[in-house]
Amino acid sequence: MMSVPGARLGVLRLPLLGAFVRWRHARTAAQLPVLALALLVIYDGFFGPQLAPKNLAGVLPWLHWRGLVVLALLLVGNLFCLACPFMLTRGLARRLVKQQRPWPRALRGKWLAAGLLVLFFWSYEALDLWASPWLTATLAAAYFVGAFVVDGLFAGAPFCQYLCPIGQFHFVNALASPAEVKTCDRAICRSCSTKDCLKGRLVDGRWQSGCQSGLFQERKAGNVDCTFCLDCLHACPHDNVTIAWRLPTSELWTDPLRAGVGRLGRRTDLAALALVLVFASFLNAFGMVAPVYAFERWLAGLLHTDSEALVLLLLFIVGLIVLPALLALAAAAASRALSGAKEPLLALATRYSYCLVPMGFGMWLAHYGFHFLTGALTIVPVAQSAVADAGLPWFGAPRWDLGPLVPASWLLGIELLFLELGLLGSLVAAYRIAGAHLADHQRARWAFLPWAILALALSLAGAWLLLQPMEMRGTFLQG
Amino acid sequence: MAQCAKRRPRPLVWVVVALLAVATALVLPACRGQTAGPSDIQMTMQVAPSPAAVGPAEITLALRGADGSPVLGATVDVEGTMNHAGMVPVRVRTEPLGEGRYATRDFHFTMAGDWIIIVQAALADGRKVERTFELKGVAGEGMGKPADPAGQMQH
Ligand code: SF4
Ligand code: SF4
Ligand SMILES: [Cu+2]
Repeated sequence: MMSVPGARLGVLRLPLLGAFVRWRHARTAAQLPVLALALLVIYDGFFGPQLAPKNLAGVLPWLHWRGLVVLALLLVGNLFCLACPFMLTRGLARRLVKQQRPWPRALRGKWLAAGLLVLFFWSYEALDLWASPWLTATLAAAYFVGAFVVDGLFAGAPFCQYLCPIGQFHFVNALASPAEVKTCDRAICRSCSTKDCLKGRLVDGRWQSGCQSGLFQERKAGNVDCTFCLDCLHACPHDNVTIAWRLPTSELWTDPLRAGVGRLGRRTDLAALALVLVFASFLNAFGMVAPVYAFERWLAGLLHTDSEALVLLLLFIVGLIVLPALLALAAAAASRALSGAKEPLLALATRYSYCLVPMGFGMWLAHYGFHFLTGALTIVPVAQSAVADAGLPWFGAPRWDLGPLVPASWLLGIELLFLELGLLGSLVAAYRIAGAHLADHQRARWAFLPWAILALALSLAGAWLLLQPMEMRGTFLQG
Repeated sequence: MAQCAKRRPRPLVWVVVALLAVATALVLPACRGQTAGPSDIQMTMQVAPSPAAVGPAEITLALRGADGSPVLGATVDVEGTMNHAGMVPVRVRTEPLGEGRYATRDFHFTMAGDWIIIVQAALADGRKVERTFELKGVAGEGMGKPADPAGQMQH
């Protein structure tokens, strides 16, 4: 194998992690422990106690997994797609089904995925997924089946790219991450005739697939649609692919033509997906604080209904679709009027909407970080009692007193820090986006202003949410 | 050629996957349900203040046998928890008040919302009884003043 100077940049240069990532079975090795945990979640979810805090299906997905996902995105990148156990079923499906057809053209893009995300966030509240171990287990099992069927029938990575709500969460928030899979030297790509990182090749007599998501390394930029699967890294015969560090959020500052993605500024579907996720970070937290119940009751009275599902549906359609669209268009209109730009409103809204991603990510971090920091150690007694219930008293009496990782007095400070980091990221991104498109500094500043105000308003809403007392109910209509 | 190679099975991974699945099923053979214990014991619960609110509370349990006679000499533990993961349950031992009544000290509701009260009683004759009560809508503090700053969880 030809070695290239600089090929061991970034994560690959780290002592142990670097060697691990370069190992061909790194992804499988990362997936297997997560698969074991997923199977435990499914098992306990179906057969264990149906009280979420005492069931692995209540604790592991909603507390640990979500908390660790946002921390991984903050510290490295999309590590959880890398370790995704659902993708083991893709390998299995492709062994069983010989021929895959292309994913329907009409379903390409992110509209369907954005719709599924709205559906997921709604069902999370309407069905109280967090409170139901068996529903959580059903969802996890459905995920395995879904990935198996979709990737068995269709070529490429359609489940990840066009459907998986979890993946969209990763792709969008990884825009703010400090690492990405990229080439060491683009000149090597330009002189490369085989494009193995895309097409795959035989390595030591075995097939190493290329990028199933169609991200050709020579022009790949950023984290959209990249599952960190490392196929490209192992397929490249020139050792030219690495995981490189970068300034967090910096991929939002410019808008190059990205392989497999195009220009972010032209992808209205992707901008819509980003907006759904930004606003979901606030709505998801709103679902857990005391004022939400009074609000829902008021809404139910207004609609003359006592159907919680209906009230929530309205709340989520307005909160995740109507409100973000209106606010983005309003900010774009103000930005256009102030800067004297001449572009269509939708184009402007699309280009600038991405600047809100760091703000949303800050809110996700604050919220999921809060749950993780307050409850991470509850896994100890839950695991102890699960093992004891299986008749194996290996770990002694459950330590139900365990829970928080940090003193309670630190929490608000940590949450607000995440939130403000997000605001900072959004302000810088909005400023850079404006600067990249308007040569005149004065006009760029005016174009930036409405988006800065929107980001600031969101951060204030986030701070208000974080200051609310938490309240947990099954339904708002009783009690 | 690449196409042929692509079809080569990679059995090792799938053997490991299958083994893991089987191992999981074997390690946890028992159904993890909650035991209810003898059904001839009746248990009723009272919470003060009522309606319950975030902050200190007293939970009183009355235990009676099938014939209505008070159950004396039991050790009664109370666990308060909620239906979402991540909170530390409030676990206290009760003190006997006489006449089959047992009351908590130092219990407090740490969060507003729906609570689940799990009572475990070890009877004098060695039998164990477990009952679960639902307590919906424990109220939050009013007007922004935490009733119990020490226990209150800020979201
Ligand atoms: S996109 Fe979804 S299915 Fe694909 S690797 Fe990520 S989490 Fe797994
Ligand atoms: S660019 Fe493609 S092959 Fe490379 S890590 Fe990302 S998804 Fe995998
Ligand atoms: Cu929450």
